[in-house]
Formats: sequence, structure tokens, C-alpha cells
Amino acid sequence: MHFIVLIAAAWWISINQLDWWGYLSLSIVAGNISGLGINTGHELGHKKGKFEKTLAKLVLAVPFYGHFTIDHNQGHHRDVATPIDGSSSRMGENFYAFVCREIPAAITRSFKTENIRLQRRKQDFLCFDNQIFQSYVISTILQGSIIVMFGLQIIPFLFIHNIFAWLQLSSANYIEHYGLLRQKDGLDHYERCKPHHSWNSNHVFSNLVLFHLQRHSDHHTHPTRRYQSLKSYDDLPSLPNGYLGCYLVAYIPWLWFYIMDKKLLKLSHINGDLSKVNLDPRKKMTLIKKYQEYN
Amino acid sequence: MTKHQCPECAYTYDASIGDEYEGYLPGTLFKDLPDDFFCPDCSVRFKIDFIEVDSI
Repeated sequence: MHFIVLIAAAWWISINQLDWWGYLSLSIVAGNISGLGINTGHELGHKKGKFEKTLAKLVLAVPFYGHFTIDHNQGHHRDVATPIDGSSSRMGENFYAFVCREIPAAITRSFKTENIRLQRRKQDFLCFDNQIFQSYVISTILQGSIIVMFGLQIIPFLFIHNIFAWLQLSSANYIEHYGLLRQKDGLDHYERCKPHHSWNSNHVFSNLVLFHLQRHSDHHTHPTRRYQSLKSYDDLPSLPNGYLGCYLVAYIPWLWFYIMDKKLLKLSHINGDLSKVNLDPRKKMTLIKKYQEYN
Repeated sequence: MTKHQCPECAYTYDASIGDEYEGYLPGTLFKDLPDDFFCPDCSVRFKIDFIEVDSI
């Protein structure tokens, strides 16, 4: 379906003389639909079966985000809610700064992870078994064919489409672990991911659109559990609204900080203790000064 | 040869088979896997968490 939407939107642009705002609007709508495709790819990429993993590669190829499965499964899930995770937002980090950190970090971590696996198999990074390149090849064929079919005027459409699909994923990542931090155990390892290391939401619309993604604590505690079985719990960090509402708040940094910083510090396992919070190092002193009354 | 299982998702590493996809040859013992080994399926359990389930 996501292939059809992308091709149909490109075709519509090519046969109509759209104003700049019509062109832009259609590009953003198509990008957001492909953003939902990344969410579908997320669910499929967690499955153990080869068929479902192949489907994940296909759907992630639409917005040119084929590195996602490897980065998410073997990077984000391993490092979630720690300062080393590019996909866990930090207290004091605004959405736009997060995007600039997260997107490059996801690409580099996935390449590094896949390279280590291929080295164990005594294969070059540039080989057909590279799971990331398999998806990138499909993306190149798809988006290259669209340029050949509909002309160079379609390139800005593809660019905007891809960016907005990626931003939808970044929006979800931004709100899912904001400021939450796993503690180090005696061996200098991080404690295992627990339910209070994710923000949750249980609104009907988000649940229907995003395959229960917002029952996020259960997803991180049991990553291979199918979305139909994910449970919602009452006593866990809870977002103030559904995902889509929270995205809108996240796009207005001062409003996000105003609502979420106090909510974060009030969590029972943090109780105002900033040493238990994943802080943006650039804002650390400012935040300590601002919230010292909580200590 | 031993088998070790992830307590979270039941992924099982069988030393007699190894794990071709991950690049571990048949006969590679669990103790010889890298120290930073983590479950290839769920990624939330580490080498230290795996439980020996069977020996042959």
C-alpha cells in the first residue's frame, strides 16, 4: 500500500500544475503516510520470521530508511534510556536538537552493527548479504524509477516525503523515553530495561494507528511480543495525551519542557533526584539550578 | 555441546549448530562468544543472563 501511495502522489504531482503550497502539502501528507509505514516496518522488523523481516525491508525502503531495523533492534533496544542511545531523548534537549543527533546516530550505529556481523562472517561491508543495502537497493530502484517516470520536478517531492517520514519516527522516539535513565549496577553495566524506562500512552486513536506502540514499557520489556498482546499498566510513566497530541507539544519546546520536566521529576523512581535523569549535558547546570528545590 | 537460552525470548544458542546468520560457526562454544554478546532476537538480555538448558 505504501508503494502505491508514493507512486500515486508522485503521479498526481506530475499531471497537475500544483501551486507551491499544493506541492508541499501533498509531499508532507505522503511523507506522513510513509511515516506510518516505518511504524509497520518496526512491528515486522521485531518478528523472528524471515518473511516478516523481508516485508520490513520492503516497507522501510519506501522512505529510504532501511537501516532502521538493525539500529532499532540491536542498538536502541540494547541501549535505551542511557546517554549512549541516540534514540533516547534527554531532559532539556529540544525536539529539533534531538532530530539532529538521532538521525545521523541511527545511520552510523546501524552501519557499525551490520559491519561487525559481516566481519564475523568474513564478508565485506559492501556485499549482497548486507541487510541495510538490500533495503537501500529497493529504495534506489523505487525512487529512481519515479524520477525516470515523472521527471526531475519530482525530486523535491521525494526529498520532502522522506524527511517527513523520518520526522514522524523521530517524533515518536523523542516522546517515548524523554529524560528516563537506567542506573548502572555494581559491574558498571546498565540495569536491564524496566517498565519505568518508557513513557506510555493508551489512547484509542494512537493505539489503532500505531499498533499499540504507545504501550511502550511492555514493548521494551518484551520486544518480540506481538503488538496484539502488549499490555497497558496504570502505575507507569504516562504521557499527558495520545502520541499525536504529544508530537504537537514536542514541536513547541518551551511548552514540552513546561509540561514534561515537572512530570518527569515527579515520577516515583526519580522523586526530584536529577542524578536519576538522562540530562542533556549542555543543559545540565541550568537544569540543576532550576530544579534544585526538588532535591 | 551445550545449549544456552535467552530467558526473555527463548532464543537458543546451540553450540553444535552455531548461528550462521550472526557469524558463529558450528562448534563455537557459548563461552567463546564475545563478552559483549547479547540476544540476537530481543537484544535486552546479555551473555551473563543466558541459561544453560541442555547438554548432549
